Amino acid sequence: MGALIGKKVVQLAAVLLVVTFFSFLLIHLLPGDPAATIIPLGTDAQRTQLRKDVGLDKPLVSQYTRWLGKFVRGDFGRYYRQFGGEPVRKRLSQALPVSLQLLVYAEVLALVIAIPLGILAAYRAGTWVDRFLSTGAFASLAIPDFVLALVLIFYLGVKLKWFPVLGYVHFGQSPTEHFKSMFLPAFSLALAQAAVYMRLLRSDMIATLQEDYILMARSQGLPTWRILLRHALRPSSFSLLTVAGISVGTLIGGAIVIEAIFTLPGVGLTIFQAISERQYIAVQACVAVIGCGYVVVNFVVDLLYTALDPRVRHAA
Amino acid sequence: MSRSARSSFAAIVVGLALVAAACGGGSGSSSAGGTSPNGSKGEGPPQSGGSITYGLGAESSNGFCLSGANLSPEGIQVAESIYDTLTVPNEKGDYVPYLAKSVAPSSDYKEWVITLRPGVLFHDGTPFDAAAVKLNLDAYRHGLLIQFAFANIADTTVVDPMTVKVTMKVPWVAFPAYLYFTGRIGMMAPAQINDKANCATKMIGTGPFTLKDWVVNDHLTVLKNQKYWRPGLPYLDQITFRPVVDPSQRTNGLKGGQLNIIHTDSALQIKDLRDAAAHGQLTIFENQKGAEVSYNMMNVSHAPFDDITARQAVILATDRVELNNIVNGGVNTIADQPFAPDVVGYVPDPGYPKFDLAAAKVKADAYKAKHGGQFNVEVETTIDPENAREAQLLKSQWAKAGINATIKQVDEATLISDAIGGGYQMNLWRNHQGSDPDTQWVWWHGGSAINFQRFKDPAVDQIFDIGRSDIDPAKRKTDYDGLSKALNAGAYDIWKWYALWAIASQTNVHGITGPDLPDGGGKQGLLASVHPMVGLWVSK
Repeated sequence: MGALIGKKVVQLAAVLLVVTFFSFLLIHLLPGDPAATIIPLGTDAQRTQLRKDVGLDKPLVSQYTRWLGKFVRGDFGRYYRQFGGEPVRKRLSQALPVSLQLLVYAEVLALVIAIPLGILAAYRAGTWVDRFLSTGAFASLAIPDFVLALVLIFYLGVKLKWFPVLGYVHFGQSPTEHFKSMFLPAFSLALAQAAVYMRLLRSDMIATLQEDYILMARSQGLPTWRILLRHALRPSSFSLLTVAGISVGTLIGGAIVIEAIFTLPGVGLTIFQAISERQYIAVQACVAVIGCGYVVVNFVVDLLYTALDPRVRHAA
Repeated sequence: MSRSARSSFAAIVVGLALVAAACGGGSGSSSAGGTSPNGSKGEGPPQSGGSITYGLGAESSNGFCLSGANLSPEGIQVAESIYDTLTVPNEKGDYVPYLAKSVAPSSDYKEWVITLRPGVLFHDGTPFDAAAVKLNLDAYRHGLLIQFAFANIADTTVVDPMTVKVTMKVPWVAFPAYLYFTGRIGMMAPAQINDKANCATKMIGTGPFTLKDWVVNDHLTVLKNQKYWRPGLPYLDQITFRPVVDPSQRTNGLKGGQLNIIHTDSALQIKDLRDAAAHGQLTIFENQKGAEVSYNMMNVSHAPFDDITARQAVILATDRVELNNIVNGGVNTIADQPFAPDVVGYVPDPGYPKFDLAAAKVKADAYKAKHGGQFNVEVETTIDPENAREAQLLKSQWAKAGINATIKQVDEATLISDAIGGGYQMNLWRNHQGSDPDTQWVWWHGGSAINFQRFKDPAVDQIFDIGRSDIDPAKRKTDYDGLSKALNAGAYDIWKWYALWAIASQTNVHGITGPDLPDGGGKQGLLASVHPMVGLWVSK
């Protein structure tokens, strides 16, 4: 097990290097002089300062190692505004918790919706319940999250005024208002994910329910709920767990748009605003952080998968 | 400039700031007008206390060091709460003293004496005096933003602690209008001006509200100035400004109750807000006085628009009614000239040609005959989807006349940069707000460094030169009658429509048009998007 983890950590480090390198390259992919692109209308002194900050006059590899060193220490550069600009780290430290909350809430919501419905669809496979749930899942998959967000805003926010349509309330300020402010964005992200999870769990669970040990449990007279939850759910959840981990990337992508729509001050909105303001240093840092986060989450999922499934351990 | 392009600022060229300035408005005056004069009659006596959240269309990410800031209409709205100006327009369109006690010219208008209102304090407790005013005016003269506009100032002198003398290079009748400049010439405390590192973020004015905190791209909160020089004002305890860039989400925020008041220039949102106001769900105030004009600006220093035949061809080929109906749902008013109907310089018939496809084809063919059979046009616009849609429509209209257009989408800063540098053929632009045509001098006079269209038109220059120094008020108003005709004769622009601004609020928000001016004479005249913050109040 230790050797397996060690091997995966080495792989993780390699992937992180690749991710950070390509994030670093973003600035160099800008057309022309990056300093002129980032500060198109600034003074020469401002551009010179930017070149000095970023180290644009140094060889590429040297630039990367310098940038990586700063990145690892949490120095993500700064905004380049007419009046200076705050460190990107400060903005990210404010934005990251909001985005993480959104992702966690969306993931939890998706699982809360998907697991019972997936179990029900599998248990009632082939019946009208299964067909109804499957049709609903396909419909949910067909609706882009931003379209769902606009529909929810119109009906639940503007018409019924049940939920705020923009802004963020800190949990410490008011837990109730916090969850109200996060519900529509989280639900907008969660629904399509829930459909995927539900379909996945359903198909895995149908297969599991045909296993001999399930037949044995039934013959022993165990109640249905116990068979489903204790004996069938766990072995059916490996694919779900893996996909839930991988789908963090999908959620992050969706969160950029959703945060912009709901004016949620998360990383997505930070990227959106940074792109609008040509703050490419901030964009670069956000992309690198998100990329690393995505890789680390998948690494953790990989480890969990190993822990959950003895076959993976033994194979290793 | 274009619908969304109204805020970036150039450090290399001051003109950029003036672009932004003019795009939010140039200068001028108008009486408070609109479909629902919120803040005037029928609202009951104002009540003190309470706080509101104001939804703005953009963040002022370059800060509020006013002499170098690039304030968009959104930024001006914030500045209105923190700073006062020496003059303001009244409802008649005249510029009257506000923070100044009087602004008086010499007989030849080469000197102006500004006498200050006594007892006014900056938010930091320092006195508002002549030294502070001189420091401000010098900052504007030498700062990045207004230097072109103030280029006619030769000198500023402190006469006594409450008097400043401003000497002009040539007689300058419109100087009081420049002291307002759509709310941009706010008086900053010396402590703010002298703190170069924090000038943009540590705002200290004499205005009705003081800065509490500003988190860029999230919120800017101001608190009631307890020592405001106008007794009993302001009414509100706090205003929180929130940038909500998407117009529809700003409307949703108002309807959903997260925002108490918003402003918008989106015609489609204005239609929606009108409908909600008609059902009593909210209040809407619309203003088109001194409005900006949306137009296509042509660069006469580059082919194809260095040839008047090409300019005339695209003008004739543009069906502005169709354009307005599709882009704005027909909400906006078509413009044949840069000046709105209430503005000096407006004439009923400025000689702008009507849409005429056959005539456009003739002109296009004539151009092609002279230029190897080709008539290619590059139209520059921002990445804003509404602008892109408009550009596509223009392209299809011109194609019917045999004009081949390509669309170049750039970000806002590049659009402005290209305008300054002259690296464009035509772009979608919006500008020229205000009531005094002299404030347009910088855009069209041949001697201006920021005449982005690069024309030197003797007829235009002569009108500006005469109007600037004409001390006969009645005659001066007619001096500019020929300006629109001269511009149209040169076929420099495709005029499209006047910008329309709406300020919508919850029904319990009042006082949008502000209280009466301190020296009487009615309320402050409103210019398009900008309205005073000092009189806002909420009913309990």
